[in-house]
Amino acid sequence: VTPRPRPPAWLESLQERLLPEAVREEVAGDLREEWEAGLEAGRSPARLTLAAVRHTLVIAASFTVRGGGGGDSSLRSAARRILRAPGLAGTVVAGLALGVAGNTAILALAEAVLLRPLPFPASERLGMVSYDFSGSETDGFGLAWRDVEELRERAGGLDAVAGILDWQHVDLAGSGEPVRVPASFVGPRYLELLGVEPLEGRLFGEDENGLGDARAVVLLAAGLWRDAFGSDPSLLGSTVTLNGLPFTVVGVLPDERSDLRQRLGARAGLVLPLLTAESLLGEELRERRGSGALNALVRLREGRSWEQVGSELDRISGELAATFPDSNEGWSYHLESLAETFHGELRAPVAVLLGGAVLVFLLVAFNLSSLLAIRGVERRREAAVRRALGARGDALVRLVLHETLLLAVVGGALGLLAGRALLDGIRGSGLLDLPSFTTVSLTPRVVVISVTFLVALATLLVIVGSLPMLRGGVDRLRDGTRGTSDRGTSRLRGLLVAGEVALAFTLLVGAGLMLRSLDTLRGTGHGFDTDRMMTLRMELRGERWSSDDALRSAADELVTGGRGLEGVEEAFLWSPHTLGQASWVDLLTRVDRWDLHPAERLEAYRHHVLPGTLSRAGLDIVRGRDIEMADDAGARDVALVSESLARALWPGEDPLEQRIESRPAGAELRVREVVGVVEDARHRSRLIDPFGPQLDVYYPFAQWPMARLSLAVRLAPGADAETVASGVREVARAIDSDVPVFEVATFEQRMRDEEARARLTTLLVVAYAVLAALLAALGIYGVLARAVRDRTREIGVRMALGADRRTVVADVVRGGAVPLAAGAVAGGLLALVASRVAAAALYGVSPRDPVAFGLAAAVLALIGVIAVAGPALRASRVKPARALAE
Amino acid sequence: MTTAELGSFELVVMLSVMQVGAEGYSLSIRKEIERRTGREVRRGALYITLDRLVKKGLLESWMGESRPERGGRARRHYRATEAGREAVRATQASLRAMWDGLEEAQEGT
Repeated sequence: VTPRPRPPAWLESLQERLLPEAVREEVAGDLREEWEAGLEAGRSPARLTLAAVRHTLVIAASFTVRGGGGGDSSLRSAARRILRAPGLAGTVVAGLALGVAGNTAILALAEAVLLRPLPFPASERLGMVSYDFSGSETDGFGLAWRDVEELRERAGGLDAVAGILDWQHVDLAGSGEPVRVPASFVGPRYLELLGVEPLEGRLFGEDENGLGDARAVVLLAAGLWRDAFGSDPSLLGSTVTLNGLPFTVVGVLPDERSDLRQRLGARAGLVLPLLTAESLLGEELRERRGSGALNALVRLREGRSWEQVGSELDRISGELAATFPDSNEGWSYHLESLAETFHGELRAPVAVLLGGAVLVFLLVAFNLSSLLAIRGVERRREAAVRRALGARGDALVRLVLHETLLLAVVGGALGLLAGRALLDGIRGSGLLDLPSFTTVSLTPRVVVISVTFLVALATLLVIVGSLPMLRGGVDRLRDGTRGTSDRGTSRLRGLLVAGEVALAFTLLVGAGLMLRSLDTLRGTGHGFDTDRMMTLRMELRGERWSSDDALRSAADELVTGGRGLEGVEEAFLWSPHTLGQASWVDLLTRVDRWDLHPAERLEAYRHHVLPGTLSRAGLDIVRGRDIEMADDAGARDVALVSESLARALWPGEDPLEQRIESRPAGAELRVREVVGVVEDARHRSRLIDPFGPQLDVYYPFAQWPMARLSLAVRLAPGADAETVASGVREVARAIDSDVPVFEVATFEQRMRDEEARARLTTLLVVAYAVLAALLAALGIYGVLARAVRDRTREIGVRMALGADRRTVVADVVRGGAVPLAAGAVAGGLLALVASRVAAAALYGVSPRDPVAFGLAAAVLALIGVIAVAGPALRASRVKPARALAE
Repeated sequence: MTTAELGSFELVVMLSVMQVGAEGYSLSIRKEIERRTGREVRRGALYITLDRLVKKGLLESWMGESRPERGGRARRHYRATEAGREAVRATQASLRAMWDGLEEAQEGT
């Protein structure tokens, strides 16, 4: 049973503040009674609350009008005065809320990413070491196990070194169907360095995770413990099967500490002793030197600087290269702080967001202060009357102070609420790739900074709102002069408005470009036929699958079994990665350039396929032939290359019958003859270099079998993906009952996910642009409205002297058109520069796209018309006689 | 003591209070007016008028019992005082006197 809704508590406090005491009980009771009756009648609580607020305000206002405003500067009378100009109050509250919301959310992010130390002991001394290769533009290569050990033995500036092999997966079989889970392999002291405490059980003992040996023990992340084992406490001390091998569970870790690189919201898995990777993954860790798959978590000795240790590591790299030139030539340790590793890439986007939020806040401040200044001018006469009646200056200031205070409190509170919502939105969106241990929240520090901003702004508003009233002395009553507008100030205002327009234009262009880019992404395919296509992966492990023949027959079984399933129109094998998610590369050279260093070879994505697979995937053979049954293990090694790869390897030459050589890590050199050229296709996410050259090489699976298999299935129209997936699981179980089928996904879903992020970024930019446009409109309006008000008398005189309305209106329009035009020109130039910087975020759209620029100009023109219309109309309605008499 | 005369909205409110009887309170008074005249009554105006009529001594009011549907608040009930009833009669009399001889301004003729 859901509890009966109640009106919100703030409604009551609003009534308490606004309603005169004599009728408060009665009115509040009546409104509540109506609220309840409305609920019975089936109306929504939100609508009822809105109605109650409206009635409260109207009733309070009625009593005010009757009571008349004396020199009462109490908060309640301030509220009533505000309600007499609800448009202005609404604008001020909305503006404040907007500024505070943006500031709060972005400040919280900035605090988490830029200011707060990482949540680890002595985190300022923790760092991560990877490998750089001289002359290579990519960095962050992994280290081999021996190179981690060298660091431990030789680097005096480090007081702790722990190897880590993460981003791995293992198959977990325990209860029910086997599942594939993420796994990290950590060296001795790794968990201790990060201050990880187990939730249940214990961490690894020294004898379980040693420098030279490791036992078969495992730690589970709490999430996995819950999902796979129902948080069963008896699991501790018992055995689970990982990749077919028995491991003893010794403890449970908090999710966010089980894997440092785990992203927010991602699934947590297992933590294993580093050297168990040898048996579990078949990695010969202890044998290798040079580059590898490990990183080293290190702690600087107290008192050492990053520069000192960095140069010490350079020296060690040099020594290693001299001693082991075969493996270590060209490789050098790269040290960076852990904060840099995890928050480094976030700093730039967060700084940009922060800049944006501060800018919006400043614009809000400018616009609101010009609005309140106008109101101050309007109230000069009122102030003059009050002073004539004996009111002192401080009473007048208190009047404005109370009004502004009320607006600031309401706007600020709304802003904080909206800021929290915005923060949740950003956090949940995946727009920022936050590590799971980074908590972003409205900490007291953030709230204090936000409120400080708000107080500063409110103070500014009180000053600009009350200054004109203070200047209006008693003499104003006598001569009634309207201030002729101050030239200097009005020029400054014009400049600021032009700046706002420029910013709005730039952001509008950005929004246009993002929209166009999203549109292009939607229109871009992979280049092969993805209709009703679903992919599934499996990975064969263990002795059974160590022979090529076994792998070949497993592949055949998988494909034949898949094709026989109901609801399957077509099925074919792809290996070693899933179709459309290429990740395995081969470093290729043409056979006559075997002298090239590995770093200079071409990096091509390799695909191991069966005869007929290419045409089934919808890929055309442009030249030569497809892979045939005859291309088996006994035959001459062959390969097909993509058009781009052919051009890259043999520019201007015929690729057919040319030979390529490859030497994949750990395998022997093979020379293959090119027998065909395949049309280019995007074998990776469409977001990764979609319009660049697509370098792909296709090998016959029979000549190079792999244990990593994936099945691509084209569903029959109307077939259910889930049913087919469980069919494929049956087929896989018949091949090996311990091997899970994982990464089941349809292309449709995958492409939608890809677009989701682009859609979100676009939404954000469009929101900023709309905001900037609104602020610009408000700015133009403010300046013109003030000008018209200041010059009412002058306009009256001119009209009395025979100027017609058209001239007067043209004058006002010109006042708006000048800053608008100046801003548009500046904004156009700014947009040209900014869009080139942002070009990396664009997808298949030129940063100078005329459509985006045209669109921005059109929106800006519309804004100009809207902002100018009001003041122009008011100017045209000035009655000469009245203007002069006032 | 001269008898007070009522403004037209005051008269309507007085009559409505008398129509709804002892259980009458602001909401039922307003509904009664709206039902009989077919016109919407502005809330603020009603509360102000009730307040004024009480201050003039033409209505008396008292708080009833606290009610759950009002969030524990009580209804304010109204009743015409002797002076109030006198004022209604006096107003009606003056109006009738003004109508005399204006057949076309009267309903149903």
